[in-house]
Amino acid sequence: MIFTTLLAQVLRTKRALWITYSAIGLGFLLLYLAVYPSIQSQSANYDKIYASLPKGLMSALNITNSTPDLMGYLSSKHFGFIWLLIMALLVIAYSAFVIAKEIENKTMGFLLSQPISRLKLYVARYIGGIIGLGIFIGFSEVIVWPLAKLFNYAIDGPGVLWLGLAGLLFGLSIMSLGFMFSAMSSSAGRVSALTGAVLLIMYAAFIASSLVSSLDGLKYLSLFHYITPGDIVANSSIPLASVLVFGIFSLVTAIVGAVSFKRRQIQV
Amino acid sequence: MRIGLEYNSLMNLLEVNGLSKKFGSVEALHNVSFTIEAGHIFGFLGPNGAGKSTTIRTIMGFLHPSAGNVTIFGLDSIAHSVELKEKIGYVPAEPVLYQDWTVDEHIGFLANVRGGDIHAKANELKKLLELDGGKKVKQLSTGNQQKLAIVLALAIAPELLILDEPTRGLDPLLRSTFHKLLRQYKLDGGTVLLSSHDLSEVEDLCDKIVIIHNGKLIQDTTVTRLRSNHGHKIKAHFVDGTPDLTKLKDIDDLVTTPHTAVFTVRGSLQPVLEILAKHNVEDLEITSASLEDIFEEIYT
Repeated sequence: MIFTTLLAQVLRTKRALWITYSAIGLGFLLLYLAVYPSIQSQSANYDKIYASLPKGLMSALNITNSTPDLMGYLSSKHFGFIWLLIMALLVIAYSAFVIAKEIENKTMGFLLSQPISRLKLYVARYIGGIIGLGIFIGFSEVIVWPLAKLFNYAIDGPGVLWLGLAGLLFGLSIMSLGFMFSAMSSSAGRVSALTGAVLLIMYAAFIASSLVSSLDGLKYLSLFHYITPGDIVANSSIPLASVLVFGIFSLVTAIVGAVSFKRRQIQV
Repeated sequence: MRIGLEYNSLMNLLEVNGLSKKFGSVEALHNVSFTIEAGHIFGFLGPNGAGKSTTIRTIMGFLHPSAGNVTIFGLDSIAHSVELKEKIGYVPAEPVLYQDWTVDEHIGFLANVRGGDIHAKANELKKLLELDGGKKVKQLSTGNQQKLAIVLALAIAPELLILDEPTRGLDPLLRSTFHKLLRQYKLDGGTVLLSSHDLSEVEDLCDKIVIIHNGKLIQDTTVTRLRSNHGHKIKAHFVDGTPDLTKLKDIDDLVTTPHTAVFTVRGSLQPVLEILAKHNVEDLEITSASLEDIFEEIYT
């Protein structure tokens, strides 16, 4: 009963966050869908431009050198960068809000003065994050399937679902990192800055490894290396290495966060 | 009930044993010890920064002691934090609740978490404290937010109430209503740890008090004993002229005029009264030291 109450509480209090980011994600998707017919008609010209770009840059920006179908186009233009960026911002904000912010503004004191175990509170908020992330992915990515049907565009349905699942794993990794920092801090700003900084470093490492061949090994240290929307959609599968990296990274950071939150002192 | 099995009425309900708390190099509490017996209202006094809130946060398990421990109902407050909170109602110094929730939503949340029907008691308290259940916290004044914190703490019918300056922000009428609630709660068998700056409140309500200063416990006593230790002020008017009182033991601050003597007696009044009885005393006024006087003396 306590767990359900805590889960319902976090979903209710953070619903504006999920709705706002889902609307932003959906807005971008509709924008790309609206220009898709004109992009499709000029695909030959785009392919010429892409052919002139360095392969490393194309890989770094998750751009494929053709626009074979709707999902290929969206993977290149939207799901490869903008969508991931919106998702990262969303889960960073959520993880900072549900622990560190509540300590900062002292509402955590109200919760901790009740017979609620810290571990239960942490897990309820983490599961609330997974549900919220699922809602975001549903409205900003999976929805492309019925929308494509509505506008009579050919679409690879399973590819949509596999990309949604990969996005969930990627988002979960960042959220877990945010939860780990949030469990250790009493400042939401510091949590956002730290998580953002780690992601920025990972992204810089990923770009550098794509552009400079001697830095190729750096890509393995970046979460961005393990999410390749174009390939996931084209192959309708997620590479095992990606599943393992996202899974292990999420598990380790989430557990470190849970232990820290259970043991830490809270000035409320 | 697990707590009921481990706790028996002969034990102190709350024991603070050699509690020390350091924040880096700053020692906020140093070897603080006191006990609270069941069925009493226990005053916890000290100036700002004395360590009252740190002690209370440690009792609540939010902070961990650097040394020493706290037991409540015979159980360690950190190891058994969750089960102990089933029995504890808490009002923090600055109650911070969810701004977008209504009063009733807070009560509903508590009912779900606690698993009991607290609505009847909560409604009674809301009516008594004139609190509108439909209002969001952000629409409430500081005083009304304080009322909500009091309603939430009392509605769960706790065995121990921990109150950190609970009447701050309440007007005198509501303060009086709250005092009545606390007295009734005590009559019903409840126990209270009351941290307060309001000395008259402590004087009116508390059976026993602890005074803390710079993180150290400096008094652990009853209000009556504290007053008695700090003396009685005597003003005597003599018909035949003021006798020589300078040889009286345990008196201070002696001021005399031809027919009047004013002085403070430390310790027992009996020897002084026996001496005074030998003279023709026209008027005699004996007053106990107020807590304000005692506080001033302790802290200066």
